[in-house]
Amino acid sequence: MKQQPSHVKKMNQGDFVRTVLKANLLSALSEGKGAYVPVIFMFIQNIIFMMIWVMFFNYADNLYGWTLREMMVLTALVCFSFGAASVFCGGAYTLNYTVDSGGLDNFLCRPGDVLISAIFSHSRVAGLGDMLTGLALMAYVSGFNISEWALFFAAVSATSILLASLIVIVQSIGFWKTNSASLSDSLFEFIIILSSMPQHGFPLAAKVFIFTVLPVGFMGLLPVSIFMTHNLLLFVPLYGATLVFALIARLVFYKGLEQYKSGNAFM
Amino acid sequence: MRAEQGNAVNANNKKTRRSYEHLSCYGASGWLFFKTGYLERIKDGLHMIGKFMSFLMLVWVWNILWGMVPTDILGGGDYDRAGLVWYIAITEAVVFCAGYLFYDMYVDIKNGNFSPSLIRPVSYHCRMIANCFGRAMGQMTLFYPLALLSAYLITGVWQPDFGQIILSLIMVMEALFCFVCLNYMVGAAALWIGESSPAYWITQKLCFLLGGLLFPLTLYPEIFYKITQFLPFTAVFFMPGSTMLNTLPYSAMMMIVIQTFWMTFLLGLSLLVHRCAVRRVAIVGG
Repeated sequence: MKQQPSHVKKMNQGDFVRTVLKANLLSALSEGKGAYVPVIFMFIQNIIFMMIWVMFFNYADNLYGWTLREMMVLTALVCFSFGAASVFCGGAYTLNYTVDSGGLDNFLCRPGDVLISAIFSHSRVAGLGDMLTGLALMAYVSGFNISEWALFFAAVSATSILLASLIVIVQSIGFWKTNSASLSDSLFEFIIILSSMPQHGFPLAAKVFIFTVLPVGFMGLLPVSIFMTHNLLLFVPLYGATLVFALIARLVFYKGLEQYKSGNAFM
Repeated sequence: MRAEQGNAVNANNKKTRRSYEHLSCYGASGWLFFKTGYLERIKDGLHMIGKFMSFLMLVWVWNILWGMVPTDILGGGDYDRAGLVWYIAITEAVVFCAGYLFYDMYVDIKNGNFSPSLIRPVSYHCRMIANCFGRAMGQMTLFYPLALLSAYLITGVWQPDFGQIILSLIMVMEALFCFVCLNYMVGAAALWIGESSPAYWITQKLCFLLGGLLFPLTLYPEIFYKITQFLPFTAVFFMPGSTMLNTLPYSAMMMIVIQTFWMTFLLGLSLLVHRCAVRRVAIVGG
């Protein structure tokens, strides 16, 4: 049996992801100043949108206890999670298109996990603008309060993974239905819009829905509650749900991949 | 002398006929591009399902949010919860019908198809505006009745009378045209900044903020409201949405006149941007 040369080390999945992320970021920022245009514009658009909520709370004062502060925390959380998912898992956003165009063949030939290879295949640099918005809003809300910053980062670590999992699930529709990229995009838009709305006034049935079928409650209502109450126990359901939906996303993707074998453009 | 006069009249006639032919050619091709866009969007049912779900959710959430605001605060008692939900149903319908129309132009620029299409007999500007407006109208044909129905089912109140529906229909169509012109300018931005999406994000969010997407501009601080009246964004959301409220900001005729003014203004501006784009292509290539 042919032996590998001693200097060739076996790369584990963690090393692979780290290397790919570094390469993606360098590639995305290689355009020079032009690469920062989307980042700056994304930041400006988020701030303009936040101004609408400033106007709203200037008029309505509070919504059953939710003030502009809670709204800012919610926006900061959603923006940062969305930005982190875009920067680190940019390939997840175009998974449906990749499946449709037969582009997944490239990842099937690679060693290691197909899902990991596909979602970490590129970086959406505009996501840095979203992350920047999240940080700016948090800086406005919390200033130098270390414990609140710790809560924020602990929450977004989970919500970013949760959001990436949801993107994988909606983008996997492409395995079963061709030309459905616009449907996946619309569903993703639905998730983002719903997660960035105040959810505390929802009726009970809707609350059950957003904490089970469509887990946007774990991305909006729960992290904001953690932030408001400083109740660390609430991290248990948050991380639990993140783990469950990450596993579901993986399951859905690999179930879909079985379909891909017999019905893609390559075949 | 008489022969010279005859020649002049003939030349004039020829000129008039040529400009008439030119106009009718533009009209006919514009109509064809409009029809193509319209039918294309009508057929894309899957696209509609996802969009409609988001729309329905937004209107439903705002129904809950307005329910949390005490009634006496709502516009100092001028507005009610149902009216404001109907308002957002119309403004959001405009967003969902005319979003991301710039994309085709952006792709043309990126793929290098923009400059070859400039030598065609019908101007790229006319073609694009007609096609995008057709697509927006196609989406609206399906979306508008659904928007009214959703607002009714969510609020349980049928807010507008027949006159209001007709007025809102006219204003939504005009608003879509304004949005299409804005989209054209956003698409052309790729020639200068390399990308169109960043320009779209800013334009869209300015429309949201200064046009009153989520609630009427009359609920903004007064100084802010006064400034927004001089901006075209009001024609995109505030005017069509206001048709569903009990109190109109102006008379119906005045609203149509103002919106027509902004339509003409934005069309002229998009034409100007088109000329600048052509000049840029001539200098730096497409």
